[in-house]
Amino acid sequence: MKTAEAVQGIRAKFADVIVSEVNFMDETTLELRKDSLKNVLSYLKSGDVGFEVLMDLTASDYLEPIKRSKVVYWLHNPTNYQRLRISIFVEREGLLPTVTDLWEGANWYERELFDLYGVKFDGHPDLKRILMPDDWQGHPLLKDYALTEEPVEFKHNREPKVPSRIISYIGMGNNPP
Amino acid sequence: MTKEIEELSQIGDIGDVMELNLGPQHPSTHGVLRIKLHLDGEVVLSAEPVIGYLHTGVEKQCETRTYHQVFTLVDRLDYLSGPSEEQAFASVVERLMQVEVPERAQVIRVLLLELARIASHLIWVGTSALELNMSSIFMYCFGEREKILDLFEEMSGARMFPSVWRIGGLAHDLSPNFIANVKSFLKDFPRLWKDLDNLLTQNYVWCARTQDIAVIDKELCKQYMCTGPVIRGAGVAYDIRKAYPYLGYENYQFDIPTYAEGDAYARYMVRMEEMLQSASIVEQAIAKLKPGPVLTSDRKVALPPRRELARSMEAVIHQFKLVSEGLHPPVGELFHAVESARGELGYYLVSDGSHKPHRLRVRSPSFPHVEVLQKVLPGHMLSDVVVAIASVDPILGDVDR
Repeated sequence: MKTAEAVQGIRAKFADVIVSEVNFMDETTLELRKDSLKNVLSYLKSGDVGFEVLMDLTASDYLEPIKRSKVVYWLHNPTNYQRLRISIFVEREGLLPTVTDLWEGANWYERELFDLYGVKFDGHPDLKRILMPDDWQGHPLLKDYALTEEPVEFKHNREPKVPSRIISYIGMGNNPP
Repeated sequence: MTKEIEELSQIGDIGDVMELNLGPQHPSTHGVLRIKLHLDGEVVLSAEPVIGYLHTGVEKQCETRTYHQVFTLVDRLDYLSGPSEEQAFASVVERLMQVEVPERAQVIRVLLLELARIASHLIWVGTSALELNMSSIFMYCFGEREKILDLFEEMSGARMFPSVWRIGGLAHDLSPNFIANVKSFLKDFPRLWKDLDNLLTQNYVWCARTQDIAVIDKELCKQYMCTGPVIRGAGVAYDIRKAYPYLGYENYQFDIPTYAEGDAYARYMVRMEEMLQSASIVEQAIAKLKPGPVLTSDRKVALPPRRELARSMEAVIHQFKLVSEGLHPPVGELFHAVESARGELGYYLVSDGSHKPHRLRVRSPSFPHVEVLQKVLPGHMLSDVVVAIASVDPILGDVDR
């Protein structure tokens, strides 16, 4: 099924789940309500619709108007190579349903989102950090997480360097996150 | 879990389970990959890849750099085929800004990309053979790859990362002898390819060690988003160059090799044939090469040539704006994928209209390929784990980003 047909199908099957639909340079982005995410994704994955592959699962973070992250599901139809982007806004430390029961491979992608964005996934089999060390504090890809440098272990008879702030973000004042 | 293990566990014959860490410092893990293995004797009961040892926070750094500075960061991700990372980033920005890349630049890009693919596959064959104790093949492959690196050096001064990609074209044109040298490389390459083919394809040890090892079938590929040689080794003819053509790949004649078996041997065959296909694409690119500019004339995107600066105030202004601030793509989000040597390499760019990316996500092909190992490894012998890791060709710089 083509992307436009799939969007029509969602509109027909589920009432009032699409917050917005953006068509930008041949790419369709649907913003969904949070409670409907799982149903829509399972509908899109089902046989006749055919968006069977979750090609990417990522997020981007925003400070305005409120601090929140946009989680993005990038679906791929392996028969006709059509694609569809599903986005969903989630607040800080927010909870989303896991899609590991639809796609086993989403396991690591969700762990990565938890690690870098702090998004939690309900029902995930093993939600722990994946790229950062296990004892790391904070979630580095959030926009209010300052870019710092690590203190250098070799002191060379000088004072150890403290993490200095290289980039200051708007609206953060002098308080580190 | 394979049949033997099920049988073993049914009769309660599983002895003491040993936990073994393969890596992170192990030459056959192709980087710093650690695999937590549970072993019963020599049989793998469960395997858990642990990644993150090479995490450098490139995605975070990209958010604090201008679009031109990002090139240097991203081509270090997949350090065996840097040009494909550069192409993926350049094409997503070019598509967002609707920049026309001149014909000659497109052809040169294809030429470099395919040379990089050959170099990457050569390393793969060499290191995989080395892991099965065939060190002379390793030497042959590195010797041939050296010639490609010499070509890159001649072109740009840098051996592994040419870094000649710019938004809207290339930094500079080819050096005068480049095409002649590529032609002489292409003349010699089939002989080496034939040598590799003779040494490996019918080799009893090679076949016995790779056939029926780490079978990743079509269904598993869908579940784990596998692309590239892995999915083509499972019988699916999915190649970004055909599915979503970029750089005019639709005008080149080439086949997508597929094998239905899905094992390590099938992936080896796919990569071997891809090398020949790439060599043929390089030949076609040379034939297509026509004189012309290699950088777009859009002054809002590319720097003006040096000679204009002395005469034109406008050129000076453009130069100043581009150097001091960088370019400003319009607001929007886009995903663009290219076929790297390992599979679908996609860049997801969110632009907020400023001179830095709001978010640059690298959808690396190796990431799911490492993830799928935990599914395919159980049931294999410990010595086959090394073959299985090599067969999906992970680049840990790309996995950890």
